Amino acid sequence: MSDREFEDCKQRRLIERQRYIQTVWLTLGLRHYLETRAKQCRFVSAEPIFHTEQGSEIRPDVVLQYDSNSGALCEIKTSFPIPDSLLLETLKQLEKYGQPVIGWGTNDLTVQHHDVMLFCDILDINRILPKIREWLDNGQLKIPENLVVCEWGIVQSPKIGDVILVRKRWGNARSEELNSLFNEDWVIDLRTLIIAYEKCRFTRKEPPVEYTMEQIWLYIFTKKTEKFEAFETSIEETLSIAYEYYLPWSNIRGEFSQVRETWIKKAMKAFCSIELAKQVTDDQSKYKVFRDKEIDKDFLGYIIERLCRKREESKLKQATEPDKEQRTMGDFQQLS
Amino acid sequence: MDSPTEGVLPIDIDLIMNEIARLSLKKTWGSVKIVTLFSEANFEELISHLLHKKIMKSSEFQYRAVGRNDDLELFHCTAFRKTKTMAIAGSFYALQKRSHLFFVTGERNTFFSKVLLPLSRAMFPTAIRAFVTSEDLFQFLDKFSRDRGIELRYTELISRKMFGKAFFDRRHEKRTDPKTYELFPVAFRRSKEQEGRVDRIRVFGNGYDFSISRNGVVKIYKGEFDSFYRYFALEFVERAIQRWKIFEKRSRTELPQKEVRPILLKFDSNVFEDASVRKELVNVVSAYSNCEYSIIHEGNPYVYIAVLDKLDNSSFTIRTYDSYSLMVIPQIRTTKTSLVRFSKYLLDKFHEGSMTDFEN
Repeated sequence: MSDREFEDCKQRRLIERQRYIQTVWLTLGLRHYLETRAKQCRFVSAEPIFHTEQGSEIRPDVVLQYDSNSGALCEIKTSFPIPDSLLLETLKQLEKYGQPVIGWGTNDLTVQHHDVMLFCDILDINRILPKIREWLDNGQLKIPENLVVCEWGIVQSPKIGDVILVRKRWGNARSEELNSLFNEDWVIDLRTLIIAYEKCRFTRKEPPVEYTMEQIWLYIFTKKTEKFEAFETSIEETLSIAYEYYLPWSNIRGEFSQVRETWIKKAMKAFCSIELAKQVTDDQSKYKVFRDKEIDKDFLGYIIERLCRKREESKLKQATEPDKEQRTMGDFQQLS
Repeated sequence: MDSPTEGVLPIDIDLIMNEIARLSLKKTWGSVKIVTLFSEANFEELISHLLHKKIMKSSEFQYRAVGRNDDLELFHCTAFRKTKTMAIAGSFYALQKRSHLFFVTGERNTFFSKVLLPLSRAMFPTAIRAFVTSEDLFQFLDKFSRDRGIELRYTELISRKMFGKAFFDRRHEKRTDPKTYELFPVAFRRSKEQEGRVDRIRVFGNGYDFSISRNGVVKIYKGEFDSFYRYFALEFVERAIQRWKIFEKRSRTELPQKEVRPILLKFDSNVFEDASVRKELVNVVSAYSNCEYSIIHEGNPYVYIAVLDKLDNSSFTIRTYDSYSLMVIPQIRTTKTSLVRFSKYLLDKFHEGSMTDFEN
């Protein structure tokens, strides 16, 4: 790997991590805003699984419920691919969101109608929105349900500091309450989300492996021992600590937990690849963690540097590649 | 101290300590130094923990009990340390009263700074050096001065501004006329006027001559030991214990609902308004010893960093909250000692502030 490629790799991984953190903040921000401002429209969950009538799985980032007959499936985007073909392919994922879906919080798990809401990064919106309109008009993009497009970004407010800004740019929601809230910009002070962020570190999207490694190394592993020393642990144990402290958004454990077993497994594999851990059983369930190994103080910098160096090794490629079954629109951003 | 006898030493130990002080002060340039510490372990346990520390590879340490009275114990200790350039040996006394621990020595500064202070540091986290604020120093001096009816005047002052930058005010001439020296409150006022805080101050008056510092060290040049024990040494530890209460039960593991209970460190001025200060805060944290860290957000307008304390495998995050304050956010396991250590570091290397519970 040349120096340039190496620097690019480091930069890209930092950006991916930053984007993931921003998605978490926006999800928290939407929840906070609706909980404090809306009376009817409810933030239901951030890790739901829906099914189309044909049985395919849909995993929206956020689900809103307006009443027992309507709601919204929301997709949060931190970036879009540049080439039109890839952009269209990305947006086509929304077509599934636009079909009747099963999984709502109603008696028969269905609603009569629902909106599809797309949250685009403020830097992308002026490029994406005209394309969406064009492709909807010429039929290249077919979304049977009502589409609402919002822009969002983390911006600086001179008086408050960093805020999340959400602004509706196109379409109308089926909820009158939501439409009236959209009459003005949503400004959410990031500071009101600090405590929530400490408990909700993951959305349902798979995080970059470095991000999971950070959560495990800096927080979860502190519960293991009272000394900074090597120890043995298992995927099960690490997961159970994660379950305990990073509560599910929907308050249902198991399938809906914030942290997934596959993410922990990948993080542990990545720790092994940079020699911060070693597998001690053949079934990849138990690891020895070299907690006391002398590493750079800047933990994130240290792991990113080593992961980039190991990038060419197939071992790491496997460790960081997202699950096929969990691929969503969000994964296409990596292509951009 | 609520009870009038609380700060009084039992007569036998009082006699020993005063005698040590008298003998030490008889020497030319002699002084007695007291290091104040907090420890919940008894002295034997403390020493057994110390034996595993790196410093002991170049040091030898011996001790014996010389006095015991109710809840108070006195040990005579000898220590020897070999550094790259010299070998230093000396003795000190360890006086322990419940969780209060005092090291007292009449040895020279070399022994004090190269042996006794490093040994005290190595005892962390089993024993923690007491430290207080500039305001506390003022209150201790004020009480002593009022109770004893003494006008205390200052001869040396070390103030620290943000990032630990120090400025001095010293007079070395022979004190022929005490009235030419300013009263101690002037030192505190001047320090504040220059946006600093008093870090160390040396005062004198009516047979007393001593210095006290925010890091819990008392240096006696003139005066009897028991007064310093009562008005300063004990007060240092008491005040530190009181202040550190805010760090208790912060770990999410210790809380029934696994809550997150942040602490807000407030400064007197809008320090974080300045982007260069925020940047410097990142540098200060990255220079923190025995830690690993990860920067969550480094840009404008806030700084957000995760800190992992390698001394006891615990962690917390810090975030600039507004222009005036820094938020310390405990995590799954955040020990009191790690928060004490970090707050001391901020006091030395960043700025003095006041701690409060964060109310959302």
